Amino acid sequence: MKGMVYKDLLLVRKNLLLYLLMGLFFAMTLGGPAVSGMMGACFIALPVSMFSMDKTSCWESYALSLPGGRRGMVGARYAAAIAIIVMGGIYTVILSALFSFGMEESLVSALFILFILCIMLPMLYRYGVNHVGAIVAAAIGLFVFVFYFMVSSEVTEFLIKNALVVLALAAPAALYLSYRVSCAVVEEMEY
Amino acid sequence: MSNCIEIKGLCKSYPGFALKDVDMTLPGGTILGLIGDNGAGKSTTIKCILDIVHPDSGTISVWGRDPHGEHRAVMEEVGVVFDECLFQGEMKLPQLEKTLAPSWKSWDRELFRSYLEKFSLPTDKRIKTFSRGMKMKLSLAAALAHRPRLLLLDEATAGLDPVVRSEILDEFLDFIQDEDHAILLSSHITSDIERVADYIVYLHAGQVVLAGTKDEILDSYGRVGCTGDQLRELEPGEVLRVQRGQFGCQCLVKDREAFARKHPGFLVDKPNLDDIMVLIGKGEVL
Repeated sequence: MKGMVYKDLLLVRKNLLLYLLMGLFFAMTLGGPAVSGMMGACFIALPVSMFSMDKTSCWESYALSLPGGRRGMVGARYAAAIAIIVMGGIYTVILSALFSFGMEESLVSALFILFILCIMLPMLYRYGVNHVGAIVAAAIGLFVFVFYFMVSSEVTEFLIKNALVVLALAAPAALYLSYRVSCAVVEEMEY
Repeated sequence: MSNCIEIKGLCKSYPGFALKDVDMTLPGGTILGLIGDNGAGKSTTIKCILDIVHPDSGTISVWGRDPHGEHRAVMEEVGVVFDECLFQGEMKLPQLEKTLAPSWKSWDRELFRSYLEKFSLPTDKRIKTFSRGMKMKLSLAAALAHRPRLLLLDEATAGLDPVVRSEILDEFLDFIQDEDHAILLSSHITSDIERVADYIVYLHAGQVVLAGTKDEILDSYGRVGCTGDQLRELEPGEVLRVQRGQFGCQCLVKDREAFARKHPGFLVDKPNLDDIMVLIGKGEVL
């Protein structure tokens, strides 16, 4: 699994660097919300790139023949996606300290995107990158729908006030659930 | 000598194609040549062994273990070469090594590098710049570097020039010097199979139509040339397949010496694997 995490991060390093530079530019010119938006786009786009590159080289067939098997392949993808979010989160904190914009808002955005990824990754495994636009829209739409329409206003108000703590506490459970769903999807698939 | 691979009753269906009741045994210390025309089911069989596709029914065991239930333990001992190099083209070889090495407990860094040197593979160029022969050698180096006991090769020599093919086939022969090792080589380059294989399994339209030791098959089967009138003299059970042409007929018989004794007026000669494949694939039952 370690090797596959290395592969994923290696192959997206140029795009990651570009996003980090753009984040710096936005921090200098437009401030905190623009940086959050930029990093959010990065967190979604880079895992999609990983899927796309694997599809292009048919890497998945080879990865399934490795001892780690299907779970190892999925676990590596999740580990790489989390690594990118953690790197991006740390980078955002550094930018917010340097350019004096709200750190909490940036961290909440990062966690929000993590939840979007938790919905997106199983869908990418199931439907592939050809439908990535619809998948991203569905993931964001589902999250917003649940958050704004299913939860009562009192709960919503509480969540907004305590977003950072709530999201940080819920993140591990969301990741684990997403990982299990992805494993179940990949277990049934044939390559 | 224990069996490396045992396949019994393997079935797998796709729309328009079905693998039916495939039985296959690969003893340790041997090379099994899996031959068949395009779409016969060779790759599907290999993918079932690797647990890349799920069989509909049947059992597969590798060194006595189920590849699905004990995937990690089985794949630790299996090296795979596919018909295409599936490594990311943007990588260079040191990066590929860092990707692959953690996957196996038995990865031997020095062995991998010795293969790279032996195959003259450049470590400072991206994989996408390699020729097809170089990519296949790289795939083979990666498959051998963790010291597997079983090599699965799916059309690994397709599209390679004779020199590179010969190099790779020599590596296969070195690999099975130990009875603890075995190779399953899928190919439709029958000259490669004739050169290195001990056993042959011929898949046609998803079914095993011929299986046995290579020497027995090539020493006993016969190709008979005859006219239409001569063909009418033969009984259905004497001939496995017949291919009728404009100028005569070609027949495949199972025992050419016995046939020649019984029918001295017929022209009987020793076929090669290509002849057997064509007659079984395109011929009709008498």
